[in-house]
Amino acid sequence: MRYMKIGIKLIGLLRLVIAQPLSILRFSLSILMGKYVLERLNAIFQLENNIQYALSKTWFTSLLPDAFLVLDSNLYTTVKFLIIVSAFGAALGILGRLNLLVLAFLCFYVFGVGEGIGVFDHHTSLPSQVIFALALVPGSMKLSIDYLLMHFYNKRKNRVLDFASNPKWGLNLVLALVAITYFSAGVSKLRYGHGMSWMDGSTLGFYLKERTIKYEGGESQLIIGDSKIKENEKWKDEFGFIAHTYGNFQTKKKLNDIAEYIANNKFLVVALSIGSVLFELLAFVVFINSKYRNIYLISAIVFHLSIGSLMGISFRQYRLICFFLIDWDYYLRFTFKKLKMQHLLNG
Amino acid sequence: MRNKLFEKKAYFKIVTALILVPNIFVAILGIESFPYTCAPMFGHYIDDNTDLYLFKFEGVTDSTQVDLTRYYGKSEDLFIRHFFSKVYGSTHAISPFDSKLTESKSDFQDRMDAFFNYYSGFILSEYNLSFNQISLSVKSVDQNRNIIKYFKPIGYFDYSDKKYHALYENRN
Repeated sequence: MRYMKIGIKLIGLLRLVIAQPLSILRFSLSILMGKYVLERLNAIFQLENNIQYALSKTWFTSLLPDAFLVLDSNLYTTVKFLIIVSAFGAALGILGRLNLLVLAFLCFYVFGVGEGIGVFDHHTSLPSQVIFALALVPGSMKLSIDYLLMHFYNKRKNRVLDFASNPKWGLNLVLALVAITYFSAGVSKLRYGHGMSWMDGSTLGFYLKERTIKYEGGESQLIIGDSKIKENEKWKDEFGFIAHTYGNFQTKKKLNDIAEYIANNKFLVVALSIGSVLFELLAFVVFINSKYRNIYLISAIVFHLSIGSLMGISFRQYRLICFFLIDWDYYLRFTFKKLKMQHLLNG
Repeated sequence: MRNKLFEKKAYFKIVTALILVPNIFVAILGIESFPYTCAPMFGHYIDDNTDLYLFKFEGVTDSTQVDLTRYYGKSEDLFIRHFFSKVYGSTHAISPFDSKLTESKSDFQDRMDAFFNYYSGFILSEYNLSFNQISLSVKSVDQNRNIIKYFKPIGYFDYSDKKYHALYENRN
């Protein structure tokens, strides 16, 4: 009986924690993004050619004074210090909302400089915005030192904070950010990939077989021309360049062999192409109910794990966001119902 | 006790707009500027018949030609992607690789001049390299980088007038 009581209390505690997904997300994403933005800052600082000039600026970096665009050792040290302090502050929830805002702006700044240097970091566009959103929405600070201090302060004044309930719009807004990102990716494939032709498997097949890393000496970065562009639409050159390619950075031979097998199997590569576009276009199913939301988010994790394995592009920040947005309480209730022990959840 | 700010409709509307509107804007227009993106990763079509190219920058004097690949000051993908996205630009006026909403011959000329002036200054200060011209050429390759057509110049930057000169004649 005693163990039963302890078990019920532990389950209750677990439910209290998983009822705060934005707080758990705040903790883990702040640490992960803090680490990643620090790595990116170091990589940028070590480049010989990290000069920011007029054409390098993003919308965000163009708002900053020019002094922020000359990455000397003083600025580097200051930004590094701010990243470390804000990431820990945001994760632990010490002046949490302020630190989340600072961390989000540092992400916009450092990855914006990275975009100016050459690569738009799609790994970090959604996570940076999620950090920004967490600074502003309800429910992101319930598991934090700030909240604990508020609790003690209010207790002395004979007031009780409402821990359990959060306005739903906080979680829904973060889910909307996720859904828009995936939906846009699906639309982009149809919009820029010759409509439905993207789903014939050729583009995915190309990327599965591409070995970007083995090329060097001016042979790494391909530019795509479009032979369908009419002569009278060309004025910069005779080729009609439209885009640069992305890369496949996977170097493990076994995984390369699997990617090659899929690329050469017409049925598989077409099925995966259609599946990818459908998956992305169906992003808004996360709003139907918890069941659909969970199925979609788990599919997203599997989707990124596959891309990570076959192309060496991890998107681990996306996976983390999807993982913590899963309605874990739904599975807890489902399991206890199957075990005919749902009364324990109400205990 | 609850935080009353989060229950105010005005606050909800402001935060929602602040977060979603820029994303909807870039998704509809098909552009990107960090952190906002229309997510164009793999958003193009490539098959066996797609034309693929490699860019080459060469420093040219009266007597020598120097391949500048070793003097980009960063990896080739960073250098070429920056050059293509932010400077040269897609043939389409609006491209998912940049945030610009218009394109014109004068904008193109200004960007090319700005890029080559910055880059010629960089290789001078970093590698002590100076030339009469920097030529830009492209070669046509297949997916495995086998040459289909060898390098053809498409323009050059002249150190004397500090301007980029396109070689393509069909400038409609």
